[in-house]
Formats: sequence, structure tokens, C-alpha cells
Amino acid sequence: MSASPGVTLGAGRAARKTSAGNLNPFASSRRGRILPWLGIAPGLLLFVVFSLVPAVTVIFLSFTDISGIPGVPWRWIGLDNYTRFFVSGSTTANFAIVSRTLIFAFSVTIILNALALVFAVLLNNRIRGANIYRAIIFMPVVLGVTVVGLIWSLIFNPTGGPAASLWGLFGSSSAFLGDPRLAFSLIIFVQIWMSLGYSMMIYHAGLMAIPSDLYEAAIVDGATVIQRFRHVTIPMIASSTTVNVLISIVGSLQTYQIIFVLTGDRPTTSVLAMQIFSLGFGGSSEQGYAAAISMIQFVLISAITLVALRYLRKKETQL
Amino acid sequence: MTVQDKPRVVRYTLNSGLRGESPVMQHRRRKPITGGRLLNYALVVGLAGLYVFPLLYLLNTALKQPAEFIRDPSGLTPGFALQNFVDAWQKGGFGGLILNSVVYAFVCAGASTALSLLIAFPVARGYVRGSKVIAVLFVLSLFLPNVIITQFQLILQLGLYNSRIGYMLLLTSGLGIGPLLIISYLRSLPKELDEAAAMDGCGYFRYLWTFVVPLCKPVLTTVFILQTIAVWNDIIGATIYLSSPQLKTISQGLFAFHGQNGNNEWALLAAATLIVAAPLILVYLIFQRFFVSGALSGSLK
Amino acid sequence: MRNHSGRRRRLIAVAATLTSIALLATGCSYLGGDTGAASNSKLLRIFVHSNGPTDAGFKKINALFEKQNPGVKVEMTTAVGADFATTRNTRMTAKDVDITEGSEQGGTSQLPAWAKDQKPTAWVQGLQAGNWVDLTDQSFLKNFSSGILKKYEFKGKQYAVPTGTSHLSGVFYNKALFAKYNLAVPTTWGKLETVMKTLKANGVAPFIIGGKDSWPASLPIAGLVQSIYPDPVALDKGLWEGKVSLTDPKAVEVMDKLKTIYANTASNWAGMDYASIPSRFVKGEGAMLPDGGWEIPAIQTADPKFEFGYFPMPGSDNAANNKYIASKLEFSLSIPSSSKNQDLAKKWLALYSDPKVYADFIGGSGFGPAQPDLKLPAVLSEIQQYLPPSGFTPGWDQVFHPNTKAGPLAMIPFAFSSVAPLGTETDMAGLAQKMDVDWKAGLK
Repeated sequence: MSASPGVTLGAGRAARKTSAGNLNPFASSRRGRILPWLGIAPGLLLFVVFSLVPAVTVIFLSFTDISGIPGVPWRWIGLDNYTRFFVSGSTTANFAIVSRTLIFAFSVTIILNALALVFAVLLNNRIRGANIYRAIIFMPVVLGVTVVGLIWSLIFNPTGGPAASLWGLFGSSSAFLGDPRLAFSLIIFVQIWMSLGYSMMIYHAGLMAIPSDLYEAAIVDGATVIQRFRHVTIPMIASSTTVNVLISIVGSLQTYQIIFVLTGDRPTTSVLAMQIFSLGFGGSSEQGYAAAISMIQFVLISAITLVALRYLRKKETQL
Repeated sequence: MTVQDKPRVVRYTLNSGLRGESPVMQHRRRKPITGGRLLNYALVVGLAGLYVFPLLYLLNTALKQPAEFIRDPSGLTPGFALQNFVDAWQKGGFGGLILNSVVYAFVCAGASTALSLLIAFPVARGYVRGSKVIAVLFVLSLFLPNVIITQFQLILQLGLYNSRIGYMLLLTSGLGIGPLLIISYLRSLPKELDEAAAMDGCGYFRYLWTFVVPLCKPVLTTVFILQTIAVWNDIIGATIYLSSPQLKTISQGLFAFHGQNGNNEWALLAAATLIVAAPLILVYLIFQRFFVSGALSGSLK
Repeated sequence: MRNHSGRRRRLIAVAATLTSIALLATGCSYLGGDTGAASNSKLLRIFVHSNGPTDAGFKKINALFEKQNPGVKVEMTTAVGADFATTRNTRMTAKDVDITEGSEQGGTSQLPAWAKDQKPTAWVQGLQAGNWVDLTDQSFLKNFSSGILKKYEFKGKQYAVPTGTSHLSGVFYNKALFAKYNLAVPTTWGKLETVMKTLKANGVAPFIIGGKDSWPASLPIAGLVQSIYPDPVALDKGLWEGKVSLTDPKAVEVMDKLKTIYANTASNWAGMDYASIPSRFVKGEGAMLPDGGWEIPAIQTADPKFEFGYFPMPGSDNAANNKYIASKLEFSLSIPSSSKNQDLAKKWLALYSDPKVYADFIGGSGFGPAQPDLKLPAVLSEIQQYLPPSGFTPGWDQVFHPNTKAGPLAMIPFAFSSVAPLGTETDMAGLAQKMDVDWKAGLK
């Protein structure tokens, strides 16, 4: 067993360096080296079998015209599904759907994270009953999409719901979720409302890991609230921010459930994930085409996430 | 600095303890009411109000007589139609379903959390070869394409269709962001702790159980709660993989209730919704106080 | 404090171990679930989409079947809306269902020669793949009217047991409101315009439509096309062959009249849930409701004393064109070839087809009957006057073959979801142009 030069811990115990250049202090024996893998194995196995393998198979299916109906033969059709998405009568509509997906994702991500961070900090300022407030704000996450969609459908009832009463105070009325111009903004609002508790929870966990003496030091140095926020909170929160933004982007690029519950599948509110859902799930038996759009979505999400990740990691190390 | 109150809380922080400093004593002085504090409170209360109102509206709807709701959707309920809850329970057949949901949720969430930790720890520390690959793999797993049709074939071929164990394996395998959250949290756990433990002859798994788990309570609780919610609210998976009515979940019951009785039984539907959501809310409230508040109660050696 | 957390952790460990032991003890049977269910010959598994009135009807038949066949259990499960088709496919693949909906609507309609490069409906594809059991020689099929059975025929054989028909191009109307303002059922477009004007002048919304779900707003199209285009099949053929254009005056007329109807519908109707419409209708929020026969039970439940009727949408100024109400065949029941319980399934279908049992079922469903010589509930008998001698004329959405390569505005001509207030288009001639472009894109 070779120990890397100059690194020997304790009497006779050598730490084994992994390829990542880290020392595994438990790996002084062969048994010690295997143990981490033993821990990883079950989770990784489940993941590979039930998530990875089916996902890779979808790539294959996207080049076929499989319908999902049992017993119906299907054949390889090459790039036909992709051509149908990019170069056909529906192309302009498809691009509109993609752009709406992007608008949704970016609006939600930016507004959600900004609000979540601000409120996580506000609630961290020794507010009485902060836990209760956090619990209340987290409630929609607990309730689930269907329930949240139901609540807001009730509220946005154009004749007699609370929103209608509110609008009435200003002398106007609206079809709310039926209004082609307003519906999408309302959906973004509900999505943010629903996810705020979740994001706040992650920021909260991150905030709790910040040692208070940093703040003490800053106060002693005479920093104002805003300065403390900028120079202590934000850098220390960097990794939480990365996680949160990542989750928000990926999650919102894949969201369709809340849209489905609030407005159903409509051309003015449809997003890419909704397309996949209605093609793969609805009455149309076009699993092959749905698989192709899934792949397109995957490429889109990967690209955006990689760019975002790179940017965020850079910011993290800078801070 | 005069101390006005007795020190109520002694806060240890991880870093300060390890650096050999003495724990910092903090005194819970009452902070003066400044304009900033008022604004702080106002914003927080305002936001909470935006959350309480819709939930109260749901409760209000659930307490109305069905005909009452049709007549006046947004007024305050004149009475407490608790019968709605009984009716919803019976109509939705929730009695048989709730045990299923509870079992699925706890077992799968518990297993997922454990597996996530077992993966996240070595990967975060880089103790295994290919840690980076595994991390990337789990990031990638977040945006995998929709796989119902292929996953279904797999489950069918493995003989796991329409069985609780099959469904639970499937749900457990959806680790989601669990590993990533834990990896991110572990950055604040110093490596020196691992080395110190190893030097003292602590085995790998024993170390995880006695040290890492207590120190990671906040994030583990978070992952557990998130997984519970995901499992509880899963409808598509349950619809496809569980065809016998005895295996179904309470969320499916709610969805079917909506489909069948949606024709204006809003009051009953609201009551059914609250029934389905109540256990989750309870779990959240209990676990949240139980674990998170203990997070800072140092477990240093 | 360390002991505190240590104790807690021990508690958790104990709890987890106990749970695991409990689970293992209650048996692998609990964990295993029902993998044996499919081959249980005393268990009949039925899977249909969720629809209140028919679900209730089926439950009654199930109870009767269990009584007549002691030891047999009928397990009926339903799925809501979008989930249904996929779940049916997965269950059939898993050989897990004995009776299910073969066709969800319409009969066995093969693709006509002029619809190029399209796949036939899922029902037809399934038939071609041999997924369904041949029921041609079953005696219970004879209870159904031959006209309807003919529509389900595939290569001379029968694979489906019908439920009924739904009328879809008509308009429900509030008899009390009509009487109050001395209005007669309009038989031409001109008369409809007068009715709308009178109602509006008296502060009553002429129409009410559940726009939030989108599809209910497409129902008036069936009636308008029925009246304006005498032969819907010729329209379909003409569109496909490029001989008929969506910019023709008749097409623009359909869009214009649709726009007028929308303009005369209750305010903010685009945000109204379809499920809330029956109660709104009985409350008088709109005097007329363009909807299908399937809604009849819901209206009757919303207010049993409410008096309402049904008339064809008068899309034309010539009363003769507005005589008939178009219908569609509702879902049908079939036995998958993969079922392991086919004899039991046939027995159930025989019970279902028994005239007395069927009459009871149809009465509560709101559908038109598929069996001849049945006594009909009041509202349905009233509708009989609007049915052609053959009893059935298919609606436009039953006749039209969509082109998957066409643009979205031509997926279901006519593009109702773009018309304000559902969408943002107010210029119907311009919209017709766009629809035409989208349609022609698919013909290339």
C-alpha cells in the first residue's frame, strides 16, 4: 500500500489516495476501500435499473413510430419525428411553445429565488414564531399540485370568487384563467406561490450553516444591514444558491402539472412538457413522437443547465 | 456590555468548536424596535397572509353545505358542515387507501433518504473513484425524459407489476435532488472530523451513523419530507403500476373523486382535499420541530 | 445533550427495525400485492373512463351480476380524462383487464382513401392487431339495433358492444326564461339573432359556455357546420383533395357566426369551469347552453325541477338546413384478447345487454339508446323529432380526419380556440386565411 509522499496519519496507518486526489481515512485496509462502494451500491443500482435504463431506451424509441397500443407493429422511421417537430406545419407553433417554456422557466427561477432568499433572511432575523411562518409558507408544497391547482381555480372563479371580488373593487372584471393574455402570468404567479416554501427551506438550511461570528465581526466593523447581506450572506450562501437555481430551472422547464390543472392543454398556455404529456398520455397514440419531443426537451434542459451551472460555479469560487 | 437577561441559549458552532475557541455565549437581548424591524415583520406577516388566505378559503369551502357554496362561493360559511368530511371519506373510499399511502410514503421516503446519504457522503468527499461521474449522473437524472412506456415494460418483465414491492422499489429509486442537497450540505462538514474518527478506529458505517447523521439532521429531514410529499402526491405512477383497487393510494382517491363528483360538489371536494392533505401537514409539523430545532445542539467530540 | 440525541436516534433505529419486521411478518403477501389477480377465474376486472352517470349505472349491473353468480367478484376501476388511454394500453399489455372500452367514441371508421399518410384511430389499429375478442356469434348482440351495430363492424365481424349515442350539435334552453320573454325555439339564424337581442335587452346572457376547459367551446361548430355544409363527408374529402379551401365564404361564415355566438355568451365565460356549467345554467346565468346529451343527468341533478329542452343550432337562414341534430356514438365495451376470463366477461356483457337492464342503464346515462323500441325519459323523447329517419347523423368531428402534418390552426378546423375571447383573433377573414395556410402546409 503506497502512501502519497508526506501524508501518513497516525502510527502506521496510511491513507489511500483516490483518483480524485482525496484521502479516504477509512481506507487503510482493503475492506475500508470497499465500504463506501457498498454504501453507494444499492442506491446506484436502483437508479440505474429504474431510471437510467428506461431513459436511454427512450432515445431509441424516438426514432420509431411506436404507438403504445399493444400488439401494433412499429418500425424504425429515422429522423421523421424530429422533422415533424422542426420542419412541418406546426413548426412556428412549436417554437412558440419552446419560447413560452423558456419564459416560464426564467421568470419563475429569477423571481422565485430572489423572493426566497430575501424572505429566508428576513425570517432568520430572530423573528418570533419564525418556525410557524416557515411552516405556513411551506404548506403548498405539502399539499401537492392538484390541491394547489384546485384552490386557485376556486379563487380565480370569474363570477364570485375572491379574486373576482377584488377585481370588482377596482370596477373591472376578468376571465382570469380564461383570459388568453392574463392566464400565463397567473400560472407563473401560482407556480411561484407554490414553490416559495421549498426554495426557502433550502436557503434556510444554508443560512443556518453560516457561523454567527462572521456577522458579529461584520457588525463590529460597522457594516450596515445591506452590506452584511452582500458581503457575508451572499458569499456564504453560494452553494445553496447554486442548488436552488439549478432545481428551479430544471423543475420549471419540466413543469406542466400546474398548467394542466389550472387551464388544461391550451395553445395559449402550452409548454414543452405539456406537449409531451398530452402526446404520450392523452388519447393520441404517438409514443414515438412523444419520445422525440422528450429528447428535444432533454437537450434543451441540459444545455441551459450546463451554462447556468458553469456560471454559478464560477461565481461560487469567486466569492 | 451589560447583560440584561440571563443567557438563555448557548450556541456552539461547528467551526468555532474545532478551532479550539471557547463557545461563543450569546445573550438573547430583546432587540430594539426600529423601523427596520417593523418593516421586517410587516413583510413577513404580509407574505404569510398571502398563504393563509387561500388555505382558509379551502377550509371555508369545505365547511359549507354543498348548496350553500353554489349560492354564494366566496362568503363566509354560516355553519360548520362537518358532515362533508364524513361524506367525502365514505364516497372516496379513503379508509382503505390511507394505510397504503402511509406505508408507501414512509418506507420509500426513509429508504430514499438513507440511500441518498450513502451515495452523497463518499461522493462529496471524493472517497471513491468516479465521484465526479456519479455526481454528474445524478444532476443529469433530474432532467431525464419522460419514461413511462419503457419503465412500464421493465416493471412488467421483472414481474413487479401490480405489486406493492414493485411500486415501492420504483418510488425509492427516484432519489431526485436528495443526493445533491446532501452533497451541498456536506461542504460545511469538515474533513478533519472524518480523519479524527478514522484515527480513533471508527469504522466507515459506524462513523456515518453516529456522526454524520446527527450533524446532517436539517438536510436529512428536508430530504425525507420532500420524498414523503413526492410519494404521497404521485398519481401517474400509481395509476399505471397499481391496477388493483386495494393497492391504490389516497391521492388517487382524491383525483378520482374530483373526476367523478366534480360536477359541483365543490364543498365535498374541498373536504376530501383536506382529508388527503392533513396527514402530510401533520408529518411536516412534527418532523420540522423535532429535528430542525435540534440541529444546532452540538454533537462535538 | 448528546445523550438526548443519542436516545432519539436509538428510538428511530428501533422504530425502523420494528416496522421492517412488521412488514415482513404481515407477509410477502402484503408486499406482493395482487400479481395473481389476473388469473383468478372468479374475479372480473372492468376498466372504463370515469363518468359519473355511467359509473353509477355500471355499479348497479355489477351488484346484480354478483348476486346472480355467487362467488364471483366484479372489480371495476376507472381513470380520469387524459390518463385513460395510456392506462388502458398498459393494462392490456399486462393482460390485466377483462372488459374495457374499445372505442371511446365513434364507430369503426377506417381511413378513407383521400386521407394520406395518417394512422387510423387507436380502435382500428387495435382491431388490425387482433387485440379484441370476436363477439359476432354472441346472442346478446342481437338486442342492439342493426344500424348501430353496422357502424362497429370490422371486416364483417363484431367486436364491440355499444352503449349509446350522444347528441352534440344542439342547444339546451331554459324553458322558463323563453316563456318569460315570449320566445319560440329559433329555427333559423335570423330568428336566433332576434332571440339573442331580446334576451340581451332584458339583461339575460343569451348563451353560457364553459370556456376554461377549451373543448366545450368547440361544440357550436358541430351545429354550424351541420347547417352550413350540407354534406360533411364531402367537406372532409374536399379539404383533403385541395378542392375546398378554408377561405371559402362558407368557412368564413362558420367563423363569423361562431364569433357572434361567443360575443353573446355570459361575461367572462372563458374562465368558467365546464363542471360548474350545469349549476350556472339552472341558475339562469345563460338562457341557452350549446352542449351534448351527456350533460342531461348533470343538469337534472343540479335542479330536478328545472325545465329545459334541446334544439338544433340554427346555423343557416334556411330552416330546412337546421332540421337535424348530429350525434356521435358513445364509448363501446369490448373484451381484450389477452383477457384470461373471457367466458365470465361474455356473461357480464349478456347481462348488460338484457333489455330491462340496458334500459335502466341508458335512462340514467343521458345517452340516446342503442337498442330499438325502448321507452325514453322525457327530455330524450323530445329530441327524437330532430333525428333523421335513420336515427343518426354523424357530427363534423366524427367525420373529419385530422392531418398530423398540418399546422395547429387546422388540427380541428375550425380554429375556435383562437377566436376572442378564448384567443386573440377578432378578424375572422384573416383567421380563415391563417387556418388555410396551416391546412395546406400539411398537404404538401
